[in-house]
Amino acid sequence: MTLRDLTFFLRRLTANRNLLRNLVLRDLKHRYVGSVGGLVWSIVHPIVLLISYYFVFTVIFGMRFDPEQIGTDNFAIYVFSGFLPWLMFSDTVMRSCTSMTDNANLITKTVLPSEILPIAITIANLVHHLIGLVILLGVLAMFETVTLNVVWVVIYLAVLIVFAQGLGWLVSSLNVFFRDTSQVLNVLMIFWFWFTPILYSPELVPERFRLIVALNPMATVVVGYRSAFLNLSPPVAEHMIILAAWTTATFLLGALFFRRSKTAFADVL
Amino acid sequence: MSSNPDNNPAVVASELSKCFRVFNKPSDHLKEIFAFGYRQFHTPFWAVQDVSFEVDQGGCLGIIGENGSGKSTLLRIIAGVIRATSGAVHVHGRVSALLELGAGFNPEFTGRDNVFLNASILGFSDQQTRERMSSIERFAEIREFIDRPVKTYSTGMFVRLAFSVAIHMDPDILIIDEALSVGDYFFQQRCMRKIHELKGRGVTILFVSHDLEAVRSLADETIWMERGAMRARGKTDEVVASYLAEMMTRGSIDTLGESPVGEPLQASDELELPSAVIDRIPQFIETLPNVDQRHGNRKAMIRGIGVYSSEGTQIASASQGDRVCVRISLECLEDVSQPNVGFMLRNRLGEDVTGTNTLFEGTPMEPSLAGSRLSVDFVMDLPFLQAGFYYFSPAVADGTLDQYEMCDWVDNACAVEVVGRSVTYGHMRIPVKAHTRVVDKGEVRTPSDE
Repeated sequence: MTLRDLTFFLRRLTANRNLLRNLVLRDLKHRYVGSVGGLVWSIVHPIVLLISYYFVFTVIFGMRFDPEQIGTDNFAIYVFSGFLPWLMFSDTVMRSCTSMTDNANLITKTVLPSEILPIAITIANLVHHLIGLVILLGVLAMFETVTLNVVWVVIYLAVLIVFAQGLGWLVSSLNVFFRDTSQVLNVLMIFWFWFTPILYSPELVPERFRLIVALNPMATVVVGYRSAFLNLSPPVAEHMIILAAWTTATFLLGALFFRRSKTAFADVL
Repeated sequence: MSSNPDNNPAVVASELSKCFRVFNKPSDHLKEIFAFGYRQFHTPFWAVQDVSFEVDQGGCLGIIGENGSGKSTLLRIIAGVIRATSGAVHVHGRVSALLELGAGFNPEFTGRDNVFLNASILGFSDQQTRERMSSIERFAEIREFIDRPVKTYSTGMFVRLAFSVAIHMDPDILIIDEALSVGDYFFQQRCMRKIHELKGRGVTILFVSHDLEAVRSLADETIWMERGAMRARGKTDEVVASYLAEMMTRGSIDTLGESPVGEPLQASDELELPSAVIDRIPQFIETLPNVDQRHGNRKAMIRGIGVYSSEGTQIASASQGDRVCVRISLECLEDVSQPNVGFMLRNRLGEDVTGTNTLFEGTPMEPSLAGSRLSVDFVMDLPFLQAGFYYFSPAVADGTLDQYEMCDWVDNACAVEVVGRSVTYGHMRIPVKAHTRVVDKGEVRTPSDE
């Protein structure tokens, strides 16, 4: 993939910006098709999550942590700030996965630049994610303090988007040829979720399993998010390098894989 | 094709081929893509093979052929939905395609949402789409359904909306695949008018249809696809005629009716000419005034045709309602066991007006030996046709109405000008008696009643 490919891709994307906009709007609408509340649900959803966490971890389990260690004395906020990037990631990848098969009618009947479908999903999820982040900031402002460190989240979010996008392209084209891909991915995501320090802090992971955390790009993203919001120490440099490597490799692999296989989509679907 | 020679062609297809690789399972497809040509996992199926053509700007290309002959695949390649295995397509201008059953509509979304999405795939801004929306709705005639999910649409509504969207996208090139075979008659008519209108405006049109009449009236040039290859390409009349010829020899199109032996419409002896008149007509006519196209296995050949008045004189024009006698003479070159002689009457546009044959009229003929020469008379009162030129295409076949071999078919062999005493609305005027009856008289109102 050369720079020329990239500029060609971006130019095509700008040419299709109205299509992209319509696809994103369609996606946002589709999630609440037939519902009265519409986008209100994407505000209600994270709030309900947050309250549930508080109920389970703080009220039921009575978990208390050292604020020095987790940046807050409210474990629910700690979990929530790690869960938001995970939600963004898993939702994007899972829904990208079936985006080609779901839109077979568009791919086989119109001249659609199919790479745009996973992009639209990413953007739609980004909207939901930003709503979640605003709620998180509101809660932090109410119960904790927000520091300037928060701006670092932009970097982690950018990396997260690129990573999810690359993986989304990869699995969406795989799913055209192997319809089992989405099922495999489902199972994989469960593992991935529990092996990522979201419901626990990375410090609790025993020494011999630390390598898994180091190699897990999502673990670094989660740690990064928390460092920004809860004023904790940022991920160590080695982890950041591993994350960058993962992201670059995944994006390139996904983009190239997609580009090579997409000409056959209309034949297979 | 187009009369303007300095036009650049709108569509150039050169040596197009499409090989569908038939895979046992989709994963084999992926394996092959990433085997980079080192291994094959498929059985090849050539859906389109080595097809080349050009369509000038404002020209119209018809594509005919039996099911599975590669027509749709060809259109899908030109529309850019699938890629040709080899060969190249050059398209100049904005393409709007209506492929098979309806555009890329998502059944869950409303018609309106789908219109916007489809328009944006073609690069339209929402503002541009909004400007066209009311016109799209009006043409599709789906009223309040435009705001209901597409899954609630009838097939007709679906096609109407899809067609309406396709023609409203300011296409330079319009590609229509068989879409018009669905939908009701009136909509089809409206679509045809619209397509004619677009053609008049200089839109290049490529279309697949089984409706040969539509092809004949619209296409300047026609391609006949057969098993993926181009069997013929040329002037529409010629290609359609030879296609029809082949279909008839194979007996896969049944244009002559359904029952093995027909019945005359009216069992009357009225349609007779006095023998003195009959004697005035040459026993065996040996002139074929015109041969546009000719096909058949030549076991028997049409040797001549003539149209005669009720006085027995040969005529080139007739008045509406006149009694005429069409005499068709033929010669059997081989034994013909079940000869059947008939004709088709077409108007100037090549549309079939009426046709019949001896079997259809309930007068089967005796088996004829090689060398025999026969004449057949069809005596009829001409309908009150719209004034203009009409053409008789005589034919002789061997077999029943269901199954036969075409021996000889001569396209538009003989012309008759129908001169009008009476105005006709539509194709023809028919005998009608109008009765009026006042059911309720109403009241006389004068201003002074106040």
